[in-house]
Amino acid sequence: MRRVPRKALLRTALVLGAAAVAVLAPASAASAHPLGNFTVNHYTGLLVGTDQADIEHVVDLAEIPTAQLGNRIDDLDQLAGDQCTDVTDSLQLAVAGDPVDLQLAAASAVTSGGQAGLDVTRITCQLRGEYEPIGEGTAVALDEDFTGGQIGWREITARADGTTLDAADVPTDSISDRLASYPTDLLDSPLDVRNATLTVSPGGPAGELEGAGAPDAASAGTPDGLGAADWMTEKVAGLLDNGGAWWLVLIVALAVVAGAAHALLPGHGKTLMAFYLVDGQTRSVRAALRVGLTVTAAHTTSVFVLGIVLAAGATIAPAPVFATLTAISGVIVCWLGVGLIRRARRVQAHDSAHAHAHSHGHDHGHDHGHGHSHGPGRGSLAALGIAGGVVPSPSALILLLVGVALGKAWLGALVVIAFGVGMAATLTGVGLAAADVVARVQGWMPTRRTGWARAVRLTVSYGGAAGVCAVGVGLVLRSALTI
Amino acid sequence: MNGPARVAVAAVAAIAVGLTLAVSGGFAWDDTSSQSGPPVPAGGIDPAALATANDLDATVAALQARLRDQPSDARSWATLGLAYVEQARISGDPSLYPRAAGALDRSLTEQPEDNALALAGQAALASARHQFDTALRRSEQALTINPYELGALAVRVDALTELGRYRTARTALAQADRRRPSVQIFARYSYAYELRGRSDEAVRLLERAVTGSSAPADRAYLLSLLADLHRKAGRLAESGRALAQARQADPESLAASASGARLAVARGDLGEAARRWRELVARAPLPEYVLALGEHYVATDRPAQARQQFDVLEATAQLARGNGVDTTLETANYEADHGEAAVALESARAAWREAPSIWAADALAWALHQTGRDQPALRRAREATRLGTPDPQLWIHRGAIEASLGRDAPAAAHLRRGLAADPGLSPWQREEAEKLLAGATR
Repeated sequence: MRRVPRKALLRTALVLGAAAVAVLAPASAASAHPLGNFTVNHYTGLLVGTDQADIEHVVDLAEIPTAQLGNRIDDLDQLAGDQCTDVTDSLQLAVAGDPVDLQLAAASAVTSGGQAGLDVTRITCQLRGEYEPIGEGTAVALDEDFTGGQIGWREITARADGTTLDAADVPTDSISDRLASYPTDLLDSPLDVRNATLTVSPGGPAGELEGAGAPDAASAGTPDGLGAADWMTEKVAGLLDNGGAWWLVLIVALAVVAGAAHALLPGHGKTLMAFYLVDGQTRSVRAALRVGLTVTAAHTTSVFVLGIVLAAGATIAPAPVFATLTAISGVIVCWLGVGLIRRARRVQAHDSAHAHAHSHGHDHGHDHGHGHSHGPGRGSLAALGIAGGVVPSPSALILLLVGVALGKAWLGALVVIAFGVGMAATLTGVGLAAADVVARVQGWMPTRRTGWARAVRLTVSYGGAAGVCAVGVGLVLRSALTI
Repeated sequence: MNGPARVAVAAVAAIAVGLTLAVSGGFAWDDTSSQSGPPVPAGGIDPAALATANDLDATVAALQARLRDQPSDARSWATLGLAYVEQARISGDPSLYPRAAGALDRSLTEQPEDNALALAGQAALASARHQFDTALRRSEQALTINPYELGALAVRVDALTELGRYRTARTALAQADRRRPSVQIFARYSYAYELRGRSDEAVRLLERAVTGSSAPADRAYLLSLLADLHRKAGRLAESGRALAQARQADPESLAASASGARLAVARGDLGEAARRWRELVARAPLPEYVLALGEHYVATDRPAQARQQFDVLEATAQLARGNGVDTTLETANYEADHGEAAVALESARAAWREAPSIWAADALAWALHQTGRDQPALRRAREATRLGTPDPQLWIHRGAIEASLGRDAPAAAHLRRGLAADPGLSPWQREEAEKLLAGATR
């Protein structure tokens, strides 16, 4: 198969949407310091207690500012001490209008490998200031006044410790993970926050600084702003890149988990599945498995076809493809919904007939309802599976394309199948669980075909059918809007 | 056929039909959208207004907000990309380049056909990154779509000039002036005159550009260029006045600070010059500023401090090579004067291959001279001075090469010409040139 250049992949990813960009972009921009080689970046985390404040200040020096340190880099303790003393002088904390005397509690510096064999430096300063116990609605202000006007990221966050922040113009969490991973959103300018104004009252749970317990170096982990599923996809893509026999098992397992997580994202067939199986009142594991199998087959085929078309270099815009497939899935769902409503009416008529015949309040056997088994037929189960799987997930498509680009198409294919299995497992599981819950509830209720129990059952039947119809119409409308 | 197999066949059939519909539909939609012309949103920001926008940051914020709302607005994406390039040019912050590239790519994804604005943006970005070949190609692509695209007209002139194609650049300039007479074109006309040694015309056109500009950062930049022209012509008081106006327009202007440092040298106030270079290097360690500070330390006999600045330059060159850029002209000049001549020669040859401008010719001449090849060096030095550009370094280098070849008369004339070209010449370079001049006239 033809190798797909990385650029073409990125282009595809751009069209596929924001989630896809979040997956591929960090990998493509990993070479340089994300904010340029001569930036000096500052982060300040403020923790406001009742009578003391803790401040963590991080300075991230890119390659050129690190080179500008000259031989001062040889003594990191001295460097950290000097820099943190400067930081202490440049930070002004005022509580209720009175300046707070800040003391340097700890200072440390580490270097790590940057670009072109040069080092970058990360300096961490811990500061503490004490003040009179605060009253209700105390004004707290933090100002940074660094001389030099260097270019770089400036970020402040604030948290409470035994106090409550009534108002704050800075967030509680760092969007750069304390200068460890800078956001790459095209619509965000680099942060330039140099002061914070808070209103604080005493009383509240204990809190800690964001960096508490974290190692000095930029810690790897789930980056902020990436959902667990996207993070998972990123990891799988990274592993695909590595190869190696031992990874194979791990890759497949991760792909199954990624697929399962993907199916948990909103906008999926779960709700549909639940509605459908609930109504059918068949807790048949076999029916659920059949749907799961169809979902996997439909999703895998759909990803393969689209992936092959894209990898062959066809210049199609994936957006309309997705919209059309969504519309198809919507039409199938509508059709299923209508079928459900018709069945619900049949059941209602059937119930009325029974109620008439046994008008002396004689209870039916508990298994009567099940005995008739108004459950869905094979055809509609297949339709359900197709509706749930026909829209290819961008994550799976990217995994396939990454595999192709790496010259390991078979691995990409394997991962996509595993992804589909994961999706199917979630959808089936959720559907069965929901059906089980409803069946239990119905089990507690009297089985008379009249009165409130009947009303509830009818409501569930019609409600489920209406829900399925609503999902179908929603899908069609959404795709119509996209097109 | 049993159940699961039939289900699978049904699934494949459904998907095949769906994809066929979707793909053919995709083509059809693309066709109609390009026939109906680019969507021009109501309330969008006119990219031509960018250069005169009073507050670039506010413009960027407005565009970001608009695009969060209307993420498929190709025109706004392109304008945002251009605005990021402008911000990078003014602040010197290179982290804006990838953002600019991303925004421009996004614009082209939203509207792949007839997107002159995004192509002009890519041209400006390439020019800012010193990729002049790409800049020229992109600007010409943009002009094929829209011959009146101001950004593309301006970048085409810049790219041709930097590539050393001065005659074509002149024609492009006249064409741009006919099509879109504007502040941007006046400033480029001024530079064309300056390169050819016609300083009075250069000053006149730059003053016209200053009058027409309203964005504070732009105004400060143009006033700094004007201050440089005045200083080189020996009008130190006028230079000081222009710089005061520049700082009033934009107190953060890097160009004004650098011009101020050179003016301090011209006035003989080396302490003030050193203070300004140190401040600039702390704010934005660009090779030009680091080299100036290092040479100041050499001239004032502080070799350890000079060494530290030169180490920073070495790191810059290392980074440039790591990025696949061979190196900048500044680092080639540094290597020739204070580092390894062989490295300088390699860098200068690469720079010359990439963009054979008079500046590359000068760097190559000087590196050849420092490695003992004076005959080819003189040929390049003549190329470097062929426009008659009144830049001290070009003439001093030529004079030094001639002195080394034993041609004392032209050497002395050219060294004098170089020394007279700028009273703000770095004290170290002045000293070296004066020593050579004394030798040539002995």
